[in-house]
Amino acid sequence: MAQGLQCWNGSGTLIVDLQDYNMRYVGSQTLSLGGTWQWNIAYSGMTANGWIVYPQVGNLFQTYIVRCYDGGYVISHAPTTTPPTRTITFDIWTYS
Amino acid sequence: MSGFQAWNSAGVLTIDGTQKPAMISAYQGITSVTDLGYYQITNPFVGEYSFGFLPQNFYPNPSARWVRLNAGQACFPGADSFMPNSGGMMISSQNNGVSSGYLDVFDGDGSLIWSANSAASVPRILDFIDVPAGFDLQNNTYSKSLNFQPWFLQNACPNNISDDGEVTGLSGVIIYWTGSAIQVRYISKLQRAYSATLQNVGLRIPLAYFTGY
Repeated sequence: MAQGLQCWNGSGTLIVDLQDYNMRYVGSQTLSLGGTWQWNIAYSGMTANGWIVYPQVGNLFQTYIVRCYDGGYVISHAPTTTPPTRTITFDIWTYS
Repeated sequence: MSGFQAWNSAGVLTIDGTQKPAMISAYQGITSVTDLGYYQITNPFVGEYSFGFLPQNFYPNPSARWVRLNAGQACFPGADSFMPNSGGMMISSQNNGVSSGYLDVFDGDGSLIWSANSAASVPRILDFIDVPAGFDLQNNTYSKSLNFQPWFLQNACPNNISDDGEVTGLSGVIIYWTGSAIQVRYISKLQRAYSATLQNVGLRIPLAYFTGY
């Protein structure tokens, strides 16, 4: 039998269902990034398919992109090989 | 770990007495854009002069931002480049308040972090754009059919436009919604190719659903 939590609102609409994933805030990490274009950051307990990490930038360009793996995350500066050194804060979430 | 926990049908923790979920605070329609067609963004889905920028301060930062496209619309999302009247954006954050009701979950400090009453404000992540490591996203289109109209996490999208006054460069993902499938392609011009940068790690972008939208 399937497990999980279901909730309905006052109109009887299902608002939480068995297969949902919720992203929950774990914290943030501020890093000084320079010297290369790809950085490997160890993070105990992180998994490839259960975590989301992204930089607190935006307005306009998202040039640092993160892919999580089991035990950490890789940050890539996609456009060029020689970005200037920058201090960037990353938000860290889990959905596992 | 404290208090209440719930797991989904895949056995994955979804509600936890330690970590507060993202909660939505505002919906913004993507209507008018600035500098429409100024940058030529050549892509496999729509015309290269279809895009403009979101208005200034369209969203707060930091925030977790979800974009839903109408059928037949594309975007270059991480560079805030969208087609006019192409969809909407939902703003979410861990800092938005929870309203008590029916079932309340508190963290170890006694802060209310989840309730059944506020559950409809939590993004329901139902699927993922999951481009595996090694997949050549610049020469192949990623496509995933869905039985709901998805909201994708804009923060997870790599995009850049550079302009030195004479030449422009760009790189990143074009995302397109057919009406039944979400499709992704990586493009680059005078910036590094996907094969040289992100192909060795791949991309994973959550797809959410919001009740009532």
